[in-house]
Amino acid sequence: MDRLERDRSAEEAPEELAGGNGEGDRSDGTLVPLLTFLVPIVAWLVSLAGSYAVQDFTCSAASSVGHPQPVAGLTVVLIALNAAMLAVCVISAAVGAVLLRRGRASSGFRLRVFLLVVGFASSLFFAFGVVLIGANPLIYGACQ
Amino acid sequence: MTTDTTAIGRARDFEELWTNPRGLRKLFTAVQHKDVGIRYMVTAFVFFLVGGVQALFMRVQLARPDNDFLGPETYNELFTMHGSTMMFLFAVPFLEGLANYLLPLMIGARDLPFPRANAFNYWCYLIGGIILYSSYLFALVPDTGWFAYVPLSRDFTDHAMDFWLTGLTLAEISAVGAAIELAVAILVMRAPGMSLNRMPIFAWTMLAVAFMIIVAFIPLIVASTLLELDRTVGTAFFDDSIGGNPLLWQHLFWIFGHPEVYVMFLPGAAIISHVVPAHSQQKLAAYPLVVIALASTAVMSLGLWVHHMYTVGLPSITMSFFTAASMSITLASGLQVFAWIVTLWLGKPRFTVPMLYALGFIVTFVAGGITGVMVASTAFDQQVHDTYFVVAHFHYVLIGGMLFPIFAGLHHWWGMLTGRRYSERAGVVAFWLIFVGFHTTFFPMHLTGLWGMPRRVFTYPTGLGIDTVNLLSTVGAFVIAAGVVVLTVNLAHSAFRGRPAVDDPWQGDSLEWTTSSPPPSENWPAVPIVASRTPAWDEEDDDPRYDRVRTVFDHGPTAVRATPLTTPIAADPDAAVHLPGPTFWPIVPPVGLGLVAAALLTEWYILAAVGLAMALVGFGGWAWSNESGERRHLHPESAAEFEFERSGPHAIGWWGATFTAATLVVGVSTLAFSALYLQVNAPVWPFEETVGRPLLFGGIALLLILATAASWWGRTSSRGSGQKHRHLLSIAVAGAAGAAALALVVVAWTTSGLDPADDAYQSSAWVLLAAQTVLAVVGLSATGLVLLGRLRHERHSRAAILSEYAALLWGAVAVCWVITWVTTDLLPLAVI
Ligand code: HEM
Repeated sequence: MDRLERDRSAEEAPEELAGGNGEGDRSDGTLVPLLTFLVPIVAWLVSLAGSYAVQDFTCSAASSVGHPQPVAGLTVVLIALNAAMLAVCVISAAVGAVLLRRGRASSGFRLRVFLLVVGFASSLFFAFGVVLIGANPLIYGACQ
Repeated sequence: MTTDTTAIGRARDFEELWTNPRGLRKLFTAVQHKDVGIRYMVTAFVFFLVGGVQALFMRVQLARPDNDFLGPETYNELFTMHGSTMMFLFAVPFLEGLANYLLPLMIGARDLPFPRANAFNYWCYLIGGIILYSSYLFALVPDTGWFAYVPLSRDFTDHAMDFWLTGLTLAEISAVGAAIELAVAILVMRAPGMSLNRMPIFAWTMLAVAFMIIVAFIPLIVASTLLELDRTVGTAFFDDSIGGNPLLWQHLFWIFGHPEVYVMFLPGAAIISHVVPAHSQQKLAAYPLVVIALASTAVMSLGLWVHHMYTVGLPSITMSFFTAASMSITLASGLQVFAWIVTLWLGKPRFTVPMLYALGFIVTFVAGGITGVMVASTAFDQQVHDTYFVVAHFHYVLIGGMLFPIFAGLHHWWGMLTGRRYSERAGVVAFWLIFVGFHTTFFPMHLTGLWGMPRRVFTYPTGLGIDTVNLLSTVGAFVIAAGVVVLTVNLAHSAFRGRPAVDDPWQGDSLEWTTSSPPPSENWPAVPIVASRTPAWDEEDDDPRYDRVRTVFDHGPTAVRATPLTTPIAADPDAAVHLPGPTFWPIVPPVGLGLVAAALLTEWYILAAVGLAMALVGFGGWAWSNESGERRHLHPESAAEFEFERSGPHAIGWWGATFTAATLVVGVSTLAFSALYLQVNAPVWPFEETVGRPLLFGGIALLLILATAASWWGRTSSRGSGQKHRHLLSIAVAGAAGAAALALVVVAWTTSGLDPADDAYQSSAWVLLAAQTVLAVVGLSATGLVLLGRLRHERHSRAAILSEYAALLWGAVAVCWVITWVTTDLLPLAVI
C-alpha cells in the first residue's frame, strides 16, 4: 500500500489510529459548540472595527474634501450594524443553551459540554460588549 | 529474558538518540526547547538588570529639584532605552522563554514543533538587542521615547532612530516566529487525551497570546519599516505636507502597543493560575470562566488601541466606541481575579515564596487595574495624560501584572529549571524588599501626576510641592534594587551551589510535575497520557485507546527523535512529529542579517553583501540539512505506526505554512489599511493618477494563481507510476509562473513612474509593489524547497507535502496581490 493510500485509510478509520475500540469519536459534535465560542468573538470584532471604520473613515473622508457629512445615514448604518451583531451573539447564546440542556441530558461528553458552557457564557459576554458599543450612536451623533 | 534484553537495548538506543553535546558546542548547536528557553530567559534577565540600572539613574536625577546629575539629552536617552528594553527586550522575550521551556512539559510533548526555527528566533532577538545597544558605541542613542512618535522620530533625530528601528524590528520578527512555534505546539502536540477542556491554563493563555502577537506585532514591523523608509528613501507616509499623516504612526504603534500590554499580562496571570492552585492544594476555581476571560481579553485587547489617543482630537463618538471596549475588558480581568480569590478561599494556602509573589501580584494588579478604569474614561484621561499618574498606572500594571508573576514563576519552577533549591529565607527577604520598594516608588507617583508633574521631564523646579513625593520614589527604587540583587544572588547561587531539588516540591497538579526536575533531554521516556485537568494528581491512566501510542512512544522511537501529533480539539493520537537534533545552521542566517543591518547603519555597504551571502548560505545549508534529516523517516518502526508525512492539518508543516501565510496577509493588509487611512484623510487621492496598468496587474494575478494551482496539483499527484514526473512538472510550472510573476512585479514596481518621495499615494503604491516583490521571492523559495525535497528523496510523500505548503504560501501571495491591486487602483476610485 503506498503512502497516500495509507493516509486515506487512516482518515477513514480514525478509531483505528486512536486505539481501535470505537471511542475515537470524542471530537464528534464539537463543531457547533466551537462555533458558539468563536462566532460571538467575530461579531464583537465586526461591531467595534465596523463602527470605527464606517464612522471615522466616512466622516474624515467627507470633511477632508469639504463635503457635508452624511450624519443621518451613518447613524442608521451604525445602529443596524450593531443590532445585527447583537442578534448574532444572542442566537449563538441560544444555540449554546439549547444544546447544553440536551447535551447534559443525553451524554457524558465532557469536552462538548465544556465547549458549550464556554460558548454560551462568552456569547452573553460579547453580547454585552456589543450593547456597550452599539449604544453610543444613540447618545452621540455620528461624526461628532 | 530476550524481552528484557530487547527492552534494555531499546532504552539504551533511545537514550543515545536524545544525547546532546555539552559546553560551548551545546550553546551554539542545541535547539531543544529547554536550551532555547533558558537562553531566552537568561538574556532577557540581563536586559532587565540593564533596564533597572537605567531606571535608577533616572530616579537619582529626579530625587531633588533642579538636579544636574544628568543632562536633558541623557535623560531622554535613558527613558527611551529603559522603556524599550523593558518592553521589547525583557518582558515579551522572557515570557516566551518561559513558555519555550515549560509548554512542552505542560502539554506532554518532547519538544516544540520547529526547534531550529525556534533557535533562529532566539538569535534574531539577541542580535536585535545587540544592535540597539551598539548605539552607545556610536554615541547615537535613541531618545524619542519607547513609542517613538513622529514627527520627532522622523524629522528631528539623527541615525539614533535607525538603531532603534532595525534592532527592534529583528526582535519583533523573532517574537512572531516564537508565537507561531507555540501556537502549533499547543494545537497539535498535546499529550494524547489532553482535550481542550483539560488543557492547562498556561497553554490556553499562550495560544491566545500567540494569536495576539501574530495579529498585533506585524503592524509594528510594518510601521517601523515605513518609518525607516520615510527616513532613508524619503517616502511620505508620515509627512502631512504631501498626503502623509503623523497619526498613522500612532494608530499602527498602538494597534501593536495595547495588545502588547496583554501579551505581558496574560502569561503573568496564567503563571498565577498555576501557582495559586499548587500552593493552596486546590483545583483552580471556575476553569471555564478563566478560559473565557483570557480568550475575551485577547480578542478585546486588539480593539483598545485608540484609548492611547484620546487627546489627539478624534470625534467623541469614535472615542466612545473604544471606551466601551476598554470597560468591557476590565470585566474579563476581574473574572480571573475572582477565580484566584475563590481558589485561595477554598484551598489551604501555604505562604511560600511563589505564593507571596502571587499575592503581591493580586494586590498590585488590582490597584493598577482600577487606575486603568480611571484612565479609560476620556474625561479623566484628558486631565492626567502624559503625567506621572500614567507612569504610576503602567508600572502598577506592568510590574504588578508581569514582573511579580515572573518572579512567582521563577521560584515556583526553579527546581524544574535547575534541579536545585534556593534559600527560602533569602527569597522571602527579596520579596518584601521588592514589594515594599515597589509601592514606595510608584504609589507616590499617582500624587506627583495629579499634582501636575508631566512625565519625561529631566527635572522640576523647587516649590511645586512635589519634592517629597519624588524623593520617596527614589528611595523606593533603591529598595526595589536591593530586593532584585538579593533575588538574583539567591537564584544564581542556588543554580550552582544549591541543594538538589526534589522532583515535585509543591505537589503541583499540572503535567510538568510528573517528570523529573530538571527533565531529561526527551522530557518523558514514555509519552504521558492525560485523563483529567490535573494529571499530576491522577493515578496512571490505562485507557486501552492509547495502547498503541504507549507502545510506540515508550522509549521510542529509537531511530529518529519523535513525539506524537494529536488532533486539535480532542487530542487523539493522529500522526507523529520528527524532531531534529543539534545543529549550528539556525545561527548563521541571523548573524548574516545582523551584518546587513550593521552595514545599513554604518553605510558600509560591502558588509551588506557579505551579510546577505551569509544569510543565503545559512538558509540553504539549513534546508539541505533538513532534507538529510528527513531521509531517516524511512525507518519502518515508527512510520508504520504513526505517519510522519500526512497531508493537511495532520502535519505540523501544514500549520506552520498556514500561520506563515496568515502573517503575510496581515502584513499586506496593514499596508493597505495605512494607504486607506491616508486616502480618507487626504484632500485628493491619488495626487496625480493611479498606477493604472490593468493588463500587467491582471497578468500577474493569473500567474500567481497558476503557481498556486500547480503547487496544489503537486500535492495531489503522488499516485501511480508517473508520480515523480508529475511532481517535477508541477514544480516546473509553479517555478516558471512564480518567476514570471516576480519579473512582472519588478517591472510594475520600477516602470510605473512611481516616485516614492513625491506624495503619499505614490509612496503607498511603491511600497506595496516592493512588498509584493519580496513575497514572490518567498513563494519561489517555497517552490525551491519542493524541488530539493523531490530531488533528495526517492519516496513521493515528502515532495507531496512540501508542495502543499508551497501552495498555501503561493495562495497567500496571490491574496496579497489582490489586496495590493485593490489598494493601488480600485480604492482610489471610491469617492473618498
Ligand atoms: C523596576 C523598577 C522600575 C523603575 C524604578 C522604573 C522607573 C521608571 C522611570 C523613572 C521612568 C521614566 C518616567 C518619565 O520620565 O516619564 C520609567 C519609564 C518607563 N518604564 Fe519603568 N521602571 C521600572 C521598571 C519597569 C518595568 C519592569 C517596565 C516594563 C516591563 C517598565 C516600563 C517603562 C516604560 C514603558 C516607561 C516609559 C518610557 C517612555 O516614556 O518612553 N519599567 N520607568
